[in-house]
Amino acid sequence: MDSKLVNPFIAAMVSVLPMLGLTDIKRGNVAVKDKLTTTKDVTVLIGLSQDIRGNVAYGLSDECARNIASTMMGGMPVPEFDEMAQSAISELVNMVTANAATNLERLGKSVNISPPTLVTGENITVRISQVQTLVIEIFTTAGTIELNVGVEC
Amino acid sequence: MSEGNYIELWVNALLKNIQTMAEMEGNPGQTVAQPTIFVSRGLAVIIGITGARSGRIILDINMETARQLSEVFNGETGLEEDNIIDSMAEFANIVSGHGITQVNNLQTNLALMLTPPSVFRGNKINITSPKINAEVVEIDTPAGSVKISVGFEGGS
Amino acid sequence: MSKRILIVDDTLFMRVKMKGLLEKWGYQVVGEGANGREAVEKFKELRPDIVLMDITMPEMDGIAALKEIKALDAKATVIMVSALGQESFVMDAIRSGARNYLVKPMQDDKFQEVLARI
Repeated sequence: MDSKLVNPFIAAMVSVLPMLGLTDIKRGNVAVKDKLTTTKDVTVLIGLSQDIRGNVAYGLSDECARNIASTMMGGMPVPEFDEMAQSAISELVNMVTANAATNLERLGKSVNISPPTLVTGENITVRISQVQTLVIEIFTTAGTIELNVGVEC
Repeated sequence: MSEGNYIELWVNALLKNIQTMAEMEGNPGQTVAQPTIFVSRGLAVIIGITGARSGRIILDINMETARQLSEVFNGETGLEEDNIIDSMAEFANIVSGHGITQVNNLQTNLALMLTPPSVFRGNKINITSPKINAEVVEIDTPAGSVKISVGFEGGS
Repeated sequence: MSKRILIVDDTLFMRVKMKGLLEKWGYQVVGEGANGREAVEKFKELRPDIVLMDITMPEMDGIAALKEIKALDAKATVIMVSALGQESFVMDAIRSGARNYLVKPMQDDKFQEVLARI
């Protein structure tokens, strides 16, 4: 998988998250995996098609998800990952991925994104691609978001 | 233009392919509106739909059904969980492909595309698609029950 | 007299957030819709000064709703608010009669500025 394809997603995180109130965005570890066993409580999935095909999965803990939702809602407390919080996180993922698609358009790649799907559960194994998946840790003041990119041209 | 989910086209695609690939007869139940949370039975394949309308398909089964189906598809027993996941992803891909072709033939201006499949396997898996209104059909087969959910947003 | 605004977005979070900001800035939110069909119906019923319209929604998308609203009232002010930033979407919206196009997430001050110019 071309790592050049991943940069638009990292750039999107760095550009969009601060606009939602999340600061100190830093990139952490990068790893390559072919199968994910995620310990994350919440995974938000968006699929891509047309010039670039694949899936992007955003993984976060329940606490991080609630912190981010709270920040997005102006500091309102979020004791439970309820419908409103889920809506906020899905919207965040939608905005980041749409922003990445715009970045990809500038590279000459036309990309369509699917609506976000939110998955929660226990002991989840996820396979988002037949090719390798790049797993990037993104640190924010609200917690760590795991960006999983499994795409191909 | 009909703004429906065309779920019957996907159900037909599922029935046809389970017949071709597994020589099994599927028995579809009623089409019902999908509640906000889709509770997986253990293995869920999610495929995104993009194009003039966007949405997603979920194909859901429990591990035992997945194992039985995979064994028939592959013509061998004793499969590793990895192979089962792969087989079910491929099956969902084929079914979705047939479905999307039929929808595109019906509504030629849509030019719908599929994203590659994602497979989620685990316990207490809850799937929510906040921007989508979906319908679900449960199909009974000799290997167990297969659930398919199809939902769309509007066009982009 | 404060301007009357209709918010149309299928995401609960966005509707709540926009309503909060608009009311803080002294606008009157007269209605909310969650899809294009509701957008057109509520427009007919409420005749707001401004419509804030998402694009990707179930049943009828924002561009289709924009066209119907402009057909009802050529002077209707519709501002698109969408996560989709690609030029093709922006051009399509403007050509169909949108007054402006905001890409989500928008900075509060930019949002306020765009509204103030109406």
